[in-house]
Amino acid sequence: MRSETKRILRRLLRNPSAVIGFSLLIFFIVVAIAAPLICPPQSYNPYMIPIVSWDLTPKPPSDGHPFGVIAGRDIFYGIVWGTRTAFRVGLLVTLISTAIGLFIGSIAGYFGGWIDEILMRITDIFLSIPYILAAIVITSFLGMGLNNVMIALVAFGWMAAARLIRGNILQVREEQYVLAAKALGVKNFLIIMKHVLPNTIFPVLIQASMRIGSLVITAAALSFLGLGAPIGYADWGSLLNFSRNWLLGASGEAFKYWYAIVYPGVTMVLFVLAWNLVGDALRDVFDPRLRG
Amino acid sequence: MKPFVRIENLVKYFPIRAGVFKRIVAWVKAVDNVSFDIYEGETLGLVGESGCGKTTVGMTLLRLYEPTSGRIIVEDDDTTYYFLPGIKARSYLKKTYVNKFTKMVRDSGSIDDAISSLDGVDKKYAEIFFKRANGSPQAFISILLRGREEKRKQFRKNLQIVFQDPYSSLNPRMRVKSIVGEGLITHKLAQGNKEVVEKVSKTLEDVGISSDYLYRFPHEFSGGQRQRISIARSLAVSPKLIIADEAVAALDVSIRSQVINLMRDLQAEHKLTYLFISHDLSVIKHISDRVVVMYLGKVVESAPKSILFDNPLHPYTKALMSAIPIPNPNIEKKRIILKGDVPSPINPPSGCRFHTRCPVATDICSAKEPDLVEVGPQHYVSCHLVKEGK
Amino acid sequence: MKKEPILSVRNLKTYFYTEDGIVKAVDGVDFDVYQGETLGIVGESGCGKSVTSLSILRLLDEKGKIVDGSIIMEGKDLLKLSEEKMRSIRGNDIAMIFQEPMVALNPVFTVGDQITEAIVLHQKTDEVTAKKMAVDLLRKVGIPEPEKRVDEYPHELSGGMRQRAMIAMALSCKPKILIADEPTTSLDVTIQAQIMELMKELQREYGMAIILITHDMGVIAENSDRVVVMYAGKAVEYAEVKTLFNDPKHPYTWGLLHAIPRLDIEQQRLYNIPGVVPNPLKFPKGCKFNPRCEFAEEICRREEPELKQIEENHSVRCHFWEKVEEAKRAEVGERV
Repeated sequence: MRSETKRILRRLLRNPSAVIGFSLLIFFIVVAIAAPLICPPQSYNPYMIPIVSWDLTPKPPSDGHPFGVIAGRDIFYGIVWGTRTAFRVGLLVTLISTAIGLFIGSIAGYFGGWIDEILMRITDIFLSIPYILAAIVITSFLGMGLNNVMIALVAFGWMAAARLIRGNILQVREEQYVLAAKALGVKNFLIIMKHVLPNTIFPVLIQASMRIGSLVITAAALSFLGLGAPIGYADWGSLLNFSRNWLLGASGEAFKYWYAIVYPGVTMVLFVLAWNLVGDALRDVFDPRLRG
Repeated sequence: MKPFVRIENLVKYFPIRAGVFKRIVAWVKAVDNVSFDIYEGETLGLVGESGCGKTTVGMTLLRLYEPTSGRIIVEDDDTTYYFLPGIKARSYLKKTYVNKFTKMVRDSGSIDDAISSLDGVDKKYAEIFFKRANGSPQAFISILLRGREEKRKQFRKNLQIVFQDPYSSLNPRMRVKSIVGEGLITHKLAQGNKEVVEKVSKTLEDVGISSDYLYRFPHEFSGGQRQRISIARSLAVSPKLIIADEAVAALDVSIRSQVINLMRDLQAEHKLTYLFISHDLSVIKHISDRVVVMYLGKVVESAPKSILFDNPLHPYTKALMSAIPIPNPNIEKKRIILKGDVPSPINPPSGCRFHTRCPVATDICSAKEPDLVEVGPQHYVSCHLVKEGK
Repeated sequence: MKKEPILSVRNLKTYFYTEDGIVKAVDGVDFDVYQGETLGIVGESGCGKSVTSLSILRLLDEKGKIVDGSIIMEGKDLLKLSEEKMRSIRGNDIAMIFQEPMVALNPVFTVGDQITEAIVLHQKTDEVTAKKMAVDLLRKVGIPEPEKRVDEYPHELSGGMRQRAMIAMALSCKPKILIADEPTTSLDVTIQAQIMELMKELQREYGMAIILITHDMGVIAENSDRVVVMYAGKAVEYAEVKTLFNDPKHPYTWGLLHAIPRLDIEQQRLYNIPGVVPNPLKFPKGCKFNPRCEFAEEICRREEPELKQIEENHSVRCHFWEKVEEAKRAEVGERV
């Protein structure tokens, strides 16, 4: 058993993009954990970026504010604590939506017949609604706030996992070891849990890890449109929301307020990159083993 | 002697669906009215080429497919309705027994006369119907449906299967201990981890796998060893019958002999009954006591082994035997070469299904289907020409 | 009296360089192939028989290299020819048919297209003539209604038909040597009989040599003139077919003949060759068969035996081939 983990680690370390991905991820995790140390909170709610100036014009990076100031708030603080928000949103939404997708997809795939038909048509209906539009509608329905954004993202994010697991199950279902378990008299529920799921879940996990990154971007988009976190919340998307008014710079200096966009933007790109690379690496490791 | 398993008029059709509404456009007539018995302790060889339905027979017997019609009787119990959902089970019992019994009494008048005219399972169920249920269909059905969960469990324990492909018949993510122990846990034949390990180890030793390998994964074993593990999985629940569905076909020649010898030893030691399904007549000859030959969903000939191989009567059996290459260059064989390909079971030929390739077919062969007739002691053939004494 | 072989393989060695190590797939194979005769190469999975045939046609993938040996055809060593020259030989002088017709035939081209492609390439005829020749070929291999079939796709034909189509493709340029790699393994036994019969007929008519590769001893016995038995990349016995079956000298050959269930003899119990086919990355030292050989002694574990000619047309690679003689006289629970 240990030699297997060793083999996996060896394989991962041989792959340069895997190393980069995992390093980035670890870096973000460290930042998130160490947030209170890096930027000590200054109010009862550490997630509200402290206001450092009453002047609403953005201020470029300086000694006390390494990333600059926007809308009177410290960008650096927003980025650091925003890491926690990103993880929270990404992980929670992915976890819940994948769980829902797994549940629906498993039932559809394993039992087939009209159950499958109905569940798949429901999935199709959900899929036909544009993601962001749906999220916007739901958020405007439920009201602002990050939690409502997460609900919206979950409600419209489970379909990919459902389809993927259903496809894998359709294939695994006919495998002889599943038939053998049936012949032994093992109950359906146990067959799904012990035989079907372990052999079909890895692609879903890989897909999920890659989704975390893009989820954060979607959440940021919603925040950018003003639908997400409340004003001043430590969230990368909100930071970009602030910078909306200053995107075009001042007259004559197009890039005057670059720091308002670059810092949050690059952070998001790196975050998504990290998850993508990690997902790729996992896929490389687990796919050949699925065959072996 | 009463048979351990009786397969009676078994039919299994698979629907072919097409179009947006998935309508049924045709049927694959995989098994079309097949009957034979399996006696306790024997090895029944079921042989035929691809598409003849032999694997479907095995899967249907085990209820991995539900039969389209027919009866599967195990140890004097009609098991056909065991795995059907409630409504279907009721309607099966009604159609197969209730209607028949009520009609019989109407025709003959006396209950005892009606019962004595039956035998086997029919008689047993008639007694239940008239004596215990007092002629009430509801009571009869509920008596038979009672304890179905238990009956199913027993069925699953008594009848096991070993598949052909050693590479997909073991869950790649389960360790050997869990694979072989799963049946023990399901049937509560072992309590607690220690007992499971004990029994699994013993079963593995029986099939020639060291208990050192308890915690290994399937991919760490060779094909022959995996087949042994499959056999151990079935053996662990102490079954009465094991269906070997091409169990040695995917193995190397030198490994094949090991597994065949193993199976024979296990049969003697554990008093097993085998239904050995194979396309390889040489293996069938070596291991079987009696042989059933199938072609395109039908039984064409069945006989005890030595009788079949000394005196094959059906033209297909003869062609099959002559087609097998013998590893002996000194023997000059007169080959019967069949013309054409095996027809599709979706659209089988009319009359005798073999007539399109039969070297001695006559007019009646394409018109009428021959019955399976006894032409010698335990020797059954389904051919017009044999009936006439040719 | 002594014919010249049309193909002579001497000491062929083909190794694969994988990231897990060197796989010596073929490590010393010698045989001759004569015009109009069939050479059978028999062995279990992993013995190197398929790689041998791919080596003859130099169709190995990038990881494989022929590291030693010679393959002489009509005076030329095929291993020394340029790739261009080799291409003119493939499909033309030496043709090959495979086990899985569905894999060897391109599913997006019609059967006819694939045959005419070979004809046009090697015989430089035009399309129309080539198509006519294709139809004739299909008829010759026993496909009914060849004019219709020539425009069909592989998936529209049955397994037996596909195999016949592949034979037609192989014969389109009247090759001198036909390599058949497990041609009937995936077919039903009655279809197998048809195909082997067809190949015999075509051999009589075209006079070509056939290299028949299979694991089925029965197919070998009925269709070969000479046989090479391979184990773990090496030729362990090479003899005329009757000699091999009546008088096998290598313990593996002998074991194989008694491990298979046979229709022609009564067997109480099948002979058990103990152990398993070795992992090509971890071949045993000395004689590759020694861990499984009941006649093995100390020298077998140390020293690899040479392929020695013990009679005319009979070579064995074993230190103790005489012991097999004794075993044959012992009781194995067999009666003829």
